[in-house]
Amino acid sequence: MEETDTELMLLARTGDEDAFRRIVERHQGTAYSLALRILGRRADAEDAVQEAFIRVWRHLHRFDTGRPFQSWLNRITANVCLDRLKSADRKRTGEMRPGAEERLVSDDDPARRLEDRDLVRWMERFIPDLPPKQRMVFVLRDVQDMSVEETAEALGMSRRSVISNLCLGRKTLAARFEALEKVGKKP
Amino acid sequence: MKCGRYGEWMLLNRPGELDEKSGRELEQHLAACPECRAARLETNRGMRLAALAAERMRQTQPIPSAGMTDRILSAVAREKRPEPARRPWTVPFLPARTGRLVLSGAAACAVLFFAGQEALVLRRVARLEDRMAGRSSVRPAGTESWTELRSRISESVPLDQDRVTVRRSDLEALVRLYPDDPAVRALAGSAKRLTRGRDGGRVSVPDLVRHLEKDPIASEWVRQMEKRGGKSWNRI
Ligand SMILES: [Zn+2]
Repeated sequence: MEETDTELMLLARTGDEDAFRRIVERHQGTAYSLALRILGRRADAEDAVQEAFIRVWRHLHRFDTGRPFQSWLNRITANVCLDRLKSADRKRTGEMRPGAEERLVSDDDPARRLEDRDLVRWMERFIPDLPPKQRMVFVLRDVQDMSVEETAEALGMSRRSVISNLCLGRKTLAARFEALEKVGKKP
Repeated sequence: MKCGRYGEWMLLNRPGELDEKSGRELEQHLAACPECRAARLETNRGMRLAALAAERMRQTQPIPSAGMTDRILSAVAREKRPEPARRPWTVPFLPARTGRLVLSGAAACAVLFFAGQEALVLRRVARLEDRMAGRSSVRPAGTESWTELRSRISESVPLDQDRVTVRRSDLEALVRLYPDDPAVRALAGSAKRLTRGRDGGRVSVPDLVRHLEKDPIASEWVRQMEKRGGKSWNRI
């Protein structure tokens, strides 16, 4: 018999560690994928997921059983990532600036078109250059495919603010892909 | 700048982002405004590449390293037990600040009622526990009995601190977890009636107890919760 998330959470509240293990097993993949896309590095993403599940455990009794567990976890994971981005932002030294891709592309065969695989690689490079809010909104909405409303809920933002950050993020990314195309086409 | 918002709207190209009316307005504006048409042409190629990249990323889910589950669980194991439901049904019949020895009239009646019903109730509870024993997801640990397990389960229904209420959805989730338990069903049924079908409602526990008076098994369940807090009705 397969328990729902809510049932497992209720069991976990009674101290049932096996139920908690199953919650972790069931949801760590999505949480990891979200964290990796926001933070960009595997080790950072795994740390963030671990922190998110510790928060889940600490606040088991705050989970609202009337709502999906996945939304709650998204919100917690997003918060953990945002905290990390904010503190990383303060320490940031600007090691990865626009311009890096131009050197890389001109090393390649200039006649080569951008392939799907490269697109993903470039995107993974460009996302970390977005400011934290735009980055979060873009990843939740366009990469994790949450609705605008789900994104707003997970980030504790208004719909209006999600839309404007989404537009800013998309615009920047579009410009960078555009620049990439131009560079790639140079003889 | 008169074109301000259209610049933003042009970037809202996925379902659910721009309502139909605004979409029509945008098209009309683009038909009339060469600057915006030029701007869209300018970002088009980059937008398509970015959208394609995002789509490819959606299609693949990165895999965490093999030991992650264990690392998470051992990190969690180093934590203390989760915050308990601060007042897990222990004195649900008393208003928050009026002291612990004042029993409401309804609860007092229930105590008298129990005196006569106890034998019957205990037999029914024993039968119930036999039935629950067949369910794989519900298992008492170590020396624990089914009754003890059930009272432990009461911890999974947290009471809010000041208003002495429980979430209706918590009780309904318990029903899904323990579908064979008529007491759980009675609790959730009462909660539903008391919130009159409102979703996400909270139920006052004193109301719940009054409502359940006629149901000996559900009342027994509440009594088990009571015992769990070391405050058996008999002692009061
Ligand atoms: Zn215009």
